[in-house]
Amino acid sequence: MPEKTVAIRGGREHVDVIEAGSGPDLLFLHGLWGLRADDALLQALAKTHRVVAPHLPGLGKSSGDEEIVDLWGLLYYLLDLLDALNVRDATVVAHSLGALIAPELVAMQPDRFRRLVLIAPFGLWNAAHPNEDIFVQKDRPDELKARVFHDPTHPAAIEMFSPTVAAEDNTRVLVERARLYQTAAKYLWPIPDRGLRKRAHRVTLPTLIAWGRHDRVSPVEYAEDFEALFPQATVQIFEQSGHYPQIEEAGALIAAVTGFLDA
Amino acid sequence: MKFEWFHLMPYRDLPTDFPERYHSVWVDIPSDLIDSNRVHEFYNDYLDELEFAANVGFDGVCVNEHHSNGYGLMSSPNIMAATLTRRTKDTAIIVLGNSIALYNPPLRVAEEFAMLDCLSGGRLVAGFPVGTASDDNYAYGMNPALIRRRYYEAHDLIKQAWTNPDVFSFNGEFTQLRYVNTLPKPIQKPHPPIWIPGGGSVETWDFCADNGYVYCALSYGGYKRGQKTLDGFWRVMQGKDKPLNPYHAGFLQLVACAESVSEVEDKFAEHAEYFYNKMLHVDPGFQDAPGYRTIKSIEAGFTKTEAAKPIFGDSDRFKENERAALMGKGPVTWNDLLEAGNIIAGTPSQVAEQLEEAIRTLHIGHLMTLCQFGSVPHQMAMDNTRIIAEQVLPKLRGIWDDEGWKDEFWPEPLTSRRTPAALTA
Repeated sequence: MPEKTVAIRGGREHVDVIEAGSGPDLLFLHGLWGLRADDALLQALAKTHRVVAPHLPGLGKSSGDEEIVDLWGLLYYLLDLLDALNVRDATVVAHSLGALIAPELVAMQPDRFRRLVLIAPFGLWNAAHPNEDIFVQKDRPDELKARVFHDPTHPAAIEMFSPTVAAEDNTRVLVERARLYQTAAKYLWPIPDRGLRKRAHRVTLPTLIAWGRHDRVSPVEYAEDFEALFPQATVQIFEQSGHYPQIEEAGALIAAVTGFLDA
Repeated sequence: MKFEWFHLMPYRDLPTDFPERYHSVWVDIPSDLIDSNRVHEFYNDYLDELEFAANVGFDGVCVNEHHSNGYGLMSSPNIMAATLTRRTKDTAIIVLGNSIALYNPPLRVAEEFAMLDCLSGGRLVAGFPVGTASDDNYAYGMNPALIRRRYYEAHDLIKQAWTNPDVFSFNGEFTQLRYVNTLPKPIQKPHPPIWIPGGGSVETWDFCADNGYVYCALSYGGYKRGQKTLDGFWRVMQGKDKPLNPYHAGFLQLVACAESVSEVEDKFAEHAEYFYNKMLHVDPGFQDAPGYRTIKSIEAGFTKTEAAKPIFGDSDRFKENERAALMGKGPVTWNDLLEAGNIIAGTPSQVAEQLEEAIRTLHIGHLMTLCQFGSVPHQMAMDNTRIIAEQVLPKLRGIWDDEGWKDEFWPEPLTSRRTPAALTA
């Protein structure tokens, strides 16, 4: 999918963005393990929308990470991007870490957005069913595969966590991986609650919440907590999936999202 | 040459099957394994040992900071340092250190260190570690993506608090203050010597070189593993045209000494194995939080630098030591630990010889010895300390004298200092 660099803040920062398709604006916010150009959901959405999918600062070639010390710094960075690309009346589709960011963005500028899709979001903490500390497992591919995917032998699981890497690429791959966790830690550490409850009342737009039944990264039990926070939301659970229903049940997940957006 | 006596203050009574039954000695060790009544005894044993070391001839005594850690019970090193100021006379009080990014506001460090300097009559060495990931990011929840920025800002604030005589404001990213007026200021001017305990970050080398701070490599890996780290530091110093003053660096080494080789093994082997096989049982996931090491340090870790030759020491010996230092996974034995250099052990002359090799290879002016390690009981620690002080240190004190190096990184106390009044009823 076509990637481009978008200048923001008078050229001080550059955002690495996938921009594809035409139609109503759609902002895609990727999850903890980064933006995947071959993402089937992204490709499906580009058939009917102008999709804007940034690499969060610190990832891809997006600059500006050093200046950001908290979620609010990131929110203003994203608003700067949306201004630069003239994104208006937009749908937000967000996964995982991206789905912690998305409701906050909507709460900040509700008039800019029309629909919200949250796939396996972070953002709340319930001590009765805490999400596991995924960061402790970051150097253990087998543990990651078992937690992130319902089927740890899924080709995507292997590609993400135990790919075959040529010796000369080894350092680059390990550094990229370190960047993923470092970026995620900035917003999720030590527990992934940034106070969304205080702002959730500002998020009233139609919302779809999708979750894999076997998600061990952000447990499915949180779907109830999110539904309580966004009473207007529809919740759909995907019975054969972990943290990536858009991979493990791509057809069903894509149909659910496109169906929701068409309605 | 200076010799400092270091304590971790471990909990000596962990069950022998600790690694098999429990997940980690650090962060989530079950609290019911740490009996506070026993800790009362341990703290008093350890303070007795530190005071004894000060009395018997070590130049400095060192305390450090750990949290939720069964092998290091000093969550507040300043509390320990404070009592040491009263029961020691001439020895340096080396707090190695306060993990400054964890104090809110970091002014607390400026104040407590100033108190310690005043209490001791100017004998404080101020240590500013970043702190380990286990302590900072897991036990204290500090964001690893931001910990180094917090650290540098805290450092700047503390130095200003000590040296700026006016009431001033501080508008930082993480701390904002309108009236900074730290009282008292430290006795030592412009401030106590600053030492930086480091582990593997390449940035720490630059930080120490640029600021004139002592680089202290603190690990339990021993001098054979440590030589690469110190070589990295000296390369940076050389690159910046700084004089290669050995007093600019320090190193921690476990040492076990007795009158005969068999006595050393009989006494210390089980305790050394306890330390490495049981007490250092930490979930590796707790030891490296994402962002704790910078991308630069991570990249440096992967690049195999085939240096032509080390700056100090013989190339062949350097390579030999590197090979010896490689240990496989799984439990280690006393002999493994000796071979790899984790522990320097033997009779006084053997220990002196090995320590001299370590000191010269690492090119250090500050040797921190760990004489109580793992389950080493109180009297054994005292005997180890005495025999080293009386029979080993005198052989080594003169190292560096002939090269004319001065220790510019050492406290300059008041010449006339108070001692505690006698207790009267």
